[in-house]
Amino acid sequence: MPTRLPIVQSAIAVSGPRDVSHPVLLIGFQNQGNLGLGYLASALRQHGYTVHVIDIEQDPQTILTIALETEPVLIGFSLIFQFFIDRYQELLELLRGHGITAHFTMGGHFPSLSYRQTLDLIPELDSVVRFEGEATLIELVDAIGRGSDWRAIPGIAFRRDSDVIATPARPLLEDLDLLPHPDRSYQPNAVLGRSIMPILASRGCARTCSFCSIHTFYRSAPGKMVRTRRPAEVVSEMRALHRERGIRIFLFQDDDFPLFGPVWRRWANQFVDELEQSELAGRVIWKINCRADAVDRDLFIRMRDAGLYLVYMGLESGSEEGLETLHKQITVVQNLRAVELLKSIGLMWEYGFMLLDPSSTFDSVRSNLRFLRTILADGCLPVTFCRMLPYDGTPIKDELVRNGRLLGDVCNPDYTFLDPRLSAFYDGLTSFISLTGWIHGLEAVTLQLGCAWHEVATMERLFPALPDMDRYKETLREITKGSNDLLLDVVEDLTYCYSDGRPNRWDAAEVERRRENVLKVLRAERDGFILRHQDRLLDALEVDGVEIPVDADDACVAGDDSTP
Amino acid sequence: MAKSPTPAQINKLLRFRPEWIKDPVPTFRKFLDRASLKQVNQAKAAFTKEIKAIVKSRQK
Repeated sequence: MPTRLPIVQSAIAVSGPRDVSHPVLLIGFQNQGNLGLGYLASALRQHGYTVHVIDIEQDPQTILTIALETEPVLIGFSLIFQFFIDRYQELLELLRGHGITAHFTMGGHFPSLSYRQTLDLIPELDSVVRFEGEATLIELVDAIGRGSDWRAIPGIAFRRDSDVIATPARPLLEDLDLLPHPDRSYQPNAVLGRSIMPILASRGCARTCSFCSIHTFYRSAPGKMVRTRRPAEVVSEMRALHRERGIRIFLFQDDDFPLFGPVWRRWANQFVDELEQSELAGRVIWKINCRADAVDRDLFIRMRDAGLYLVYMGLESGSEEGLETLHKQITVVQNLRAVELLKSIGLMWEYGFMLLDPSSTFDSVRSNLRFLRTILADGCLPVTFCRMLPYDGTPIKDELVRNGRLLGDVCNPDYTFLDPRLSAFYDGLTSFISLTGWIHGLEAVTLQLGCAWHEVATMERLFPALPDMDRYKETLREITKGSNDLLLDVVEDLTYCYSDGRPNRWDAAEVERRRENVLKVLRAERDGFILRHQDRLLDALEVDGVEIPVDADDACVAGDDSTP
Repeated sequence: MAKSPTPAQINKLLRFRPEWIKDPVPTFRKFLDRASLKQVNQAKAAFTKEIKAIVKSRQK
């Protein structure tokens, strides 16, 4: 096991002891746990600082109150999604307007790659921390605490007069295991009482998808782009979380879990070896994100037997042209093969999919719909899709700029299609059906069905066998298939309305009524199944030391239940 | 179709909680369709323009 050394040591020797009398506030999106903020918080704490991690979803007035009470030396804002920049700008304005004089800095993919734009859009910012932020942030807080000049610190950007200065990028961390485990001092989410935590086995992605800024982010700083932790260290962290927090479900948030090629395949096998030798075998389950071309029968069977329960793949397109535009460097056949393989070995899977991208034509959209029908024909999962958004730092956005096709602004980037009828189709689609109701949002069919399938996977792996599980799964499959067929039929028919002028045979109100009915039937079946097996499920939780609320009514606060 | 049990019958631990897998989506997708967003943005721009005109007129 490597010794965890403080990652910034030189500054201590050069500049004397640091002033840790004022805390640091870190603010960011906390849904599913924010490992980026967690690593920053633990690195700062390792160097003596008090750190408060705050969810950006909290009421701005509450955040202001915390800032006024704690008098931080620095507030770091983590901007993961550029479409939230307005919300951050409003918060910074509020904080500054109420006399918070702390240094304001911001990190994340967008601020790192588009630091000029970030500083322009948010005048209240003093600096931007670019790329991996742990060492840079510590040096920045050290310098501000001491009242020394912070403008020479590598890895930052700031305004000077009317210009913006970026100091040389700091090399990426060579050894991720020198970082302390990330702060996770929040209440974990849970599925059926089984607690969930995010975790990382690696950082970086070697692929070059045109719609993604991750490779640009890691290529723009010196150092090795993809770094893996030691398998034993990852398992050690999982063991600690299992032992101390009762975590049973781990979500690996790696950009691309290390599987592909001989080196990473060896890594994955070592990771499984470590898991099998630990007390976690048979007690925890885990999810990974990977590419379809990394799905290998023998390895995935081994991983499944060691707890892998869910595989997320960015399939993205069902047409060869689409995959080429997105620079996925994969074929439709490879995507299909991966899906079939996972199904054949009984692993649950999920996927990302872009129905529309800047190269789309009506033919490619229909290819995509056919592809979705093929992979979801058995009702194993709900339909999901989105329209590709041209994020900053992506090759596809640069190409759209060059072609004069980029529309919108930084919060709401958009583009024109080559065939203008497709724009009309998209507007028509979003007007005709509620994408919030079908795909996005808490009440969306896709989310609710996906959650029900998650529960099934969890019950099958972390609870004793339930007698009528097969029947329940068959019912879920029927509901899912019915919902999928409806949505895909509506979308496909709409494509012909806009390409060939065919009349629309669907009635929007009727489609909406059927959507609502899908949710109603799903909840009835799901709740009925859980209720039939409630005693058995609670017994299993109790055996594992989970505290069971005695009276469900007393245990629930108003609004705590997600029942629509 | 099974009759839906009331939430109170199901223990808090076992209730349906899809929120944990919800990914953040762009605000315009979360709350509005594209056409509505366009209308809101146009209204916002017009409103800002009017405010600026008022400020300017009062500075004279």
